[in-house]
Amino acid sequence: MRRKMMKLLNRILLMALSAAALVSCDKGSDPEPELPAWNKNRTATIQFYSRFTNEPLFKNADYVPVVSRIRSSVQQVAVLHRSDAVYGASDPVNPMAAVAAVAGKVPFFLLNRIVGQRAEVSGILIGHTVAKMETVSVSDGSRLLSLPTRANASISMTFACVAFENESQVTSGAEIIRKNLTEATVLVGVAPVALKQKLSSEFAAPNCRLVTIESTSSAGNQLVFVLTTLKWVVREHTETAVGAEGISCLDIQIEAL
Amino acid sequence: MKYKPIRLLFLLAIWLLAGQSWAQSSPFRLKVMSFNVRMSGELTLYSVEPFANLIRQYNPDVIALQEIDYKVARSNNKDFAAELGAALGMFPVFGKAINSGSGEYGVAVLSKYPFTAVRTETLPKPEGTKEQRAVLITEIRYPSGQLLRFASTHLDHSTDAVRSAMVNALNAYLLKGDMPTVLGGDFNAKPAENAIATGMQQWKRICTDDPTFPNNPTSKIDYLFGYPKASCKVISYEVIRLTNISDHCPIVAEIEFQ
Repeated sequence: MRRKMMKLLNRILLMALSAAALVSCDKGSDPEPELPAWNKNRTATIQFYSRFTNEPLFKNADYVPVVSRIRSSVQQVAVLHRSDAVYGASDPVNPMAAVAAVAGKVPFFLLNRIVGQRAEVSGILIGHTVAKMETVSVSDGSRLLSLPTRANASISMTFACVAFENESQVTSGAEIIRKNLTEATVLVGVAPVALKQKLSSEFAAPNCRLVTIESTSSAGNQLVFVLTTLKWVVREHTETAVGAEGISCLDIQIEAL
Repeated sequence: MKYKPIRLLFLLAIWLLAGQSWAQSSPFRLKVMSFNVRMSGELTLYSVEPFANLIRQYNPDVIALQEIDYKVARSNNKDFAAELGAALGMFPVFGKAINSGSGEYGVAVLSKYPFTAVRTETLPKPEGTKEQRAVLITEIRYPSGQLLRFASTHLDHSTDAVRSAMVNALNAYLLKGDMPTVLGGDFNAKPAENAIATGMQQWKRICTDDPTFPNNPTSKIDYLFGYPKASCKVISYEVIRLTNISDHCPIVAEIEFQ
């Protein structure tokens, strides 16, 4: 009887250790280990262009300020949140394709939803073609995009992107997102500022890092969040106005540890 | 009495599955095109505008493109698919078959509606193959929620045996499940060849045998196919002759999946 109990205890212990060794983002509250000094050679720049109000990024076809900034700066990924496409009209418009063609980047699209003849999308620009891009539905009206790219010449990065609009999307999407978080994943998401606590409660965990960044714009009601395993750390972020039409860009410096 | 909740759950599951199946199989109509643009617009001095002007007249929902350059010196280091997508207001995606100088060469898809997934698969390269070829497979979400699998390919200009091997790979990649699927491309094969006559038997032939090559066509080598065969209905089909912007004629069809 005692031997059986010991065997059972051993099994439970093994299972617990295995679970702890998993990379996926499990909830918990252990303190974060001390970070090494910032190695800029292992750092990627992700740019996030938005109005931070969940409004379409381009209110007219003036893409010049955004294109100029993309072309004049170094970034591994640029996200253009709400670079919506309009189809079915006599003059269909796809701003992301236009920006990509001029900026010399390859465009990918995260569909958030279709309203009438408008496809609400977050555009993702990278500097190379890829053999695979996939999205999974994480909750009603919210999808998670994954794209293989690089943080630099020698560091692979799976760039992921998601947009939340309400608490129920976070609630039902959190588990799928945690399951899809690998060591290579850098997930950049956008959500209303009001969901900050909700994001923390769903994603703060001992084996992953969540950083939330709020816009300094007074009109902004959206935040950007970066979710990774402990293999990555956000070292710096700066916000810059792009043009005079209310578009901002967050430059996020993220290091692969 | 105590089994009632289980029965209810079972009925609910059946109802949900039936609903999902209905959503996937409800009829929808779409306009598709396939166009080999001859070395990314060699005949237009690599300008996308003549292609955009032509395509606008036909207003397809989705287009399979072949002979597409991505940042190749001969076509001024352009991203042809992105430029044409921008000109038409469509979503572009490129699929690499081979490296070409400092750039890439392959196929592309343009869609009015966003992609939910894209992947490029290389096709087999049996003995006798002249050049590595690929298929670009996309999943497109229509406003109704309907998903369409749409693929673009360009088979090797070598032998029927090589193309048959490539067709077998295409079938392995694409003949899965019951998602409405369209494959368009330059097959470099005439209708009587094994690659088409036997290899594509499981597909609905959307196109006729009317010639598609060259500009004033005499030979049939460009195709549009639909799957599942039984649910794909052809409403109309046209070979657009004498465009003077490519050595291939674009082909366009309106189809309906039941």
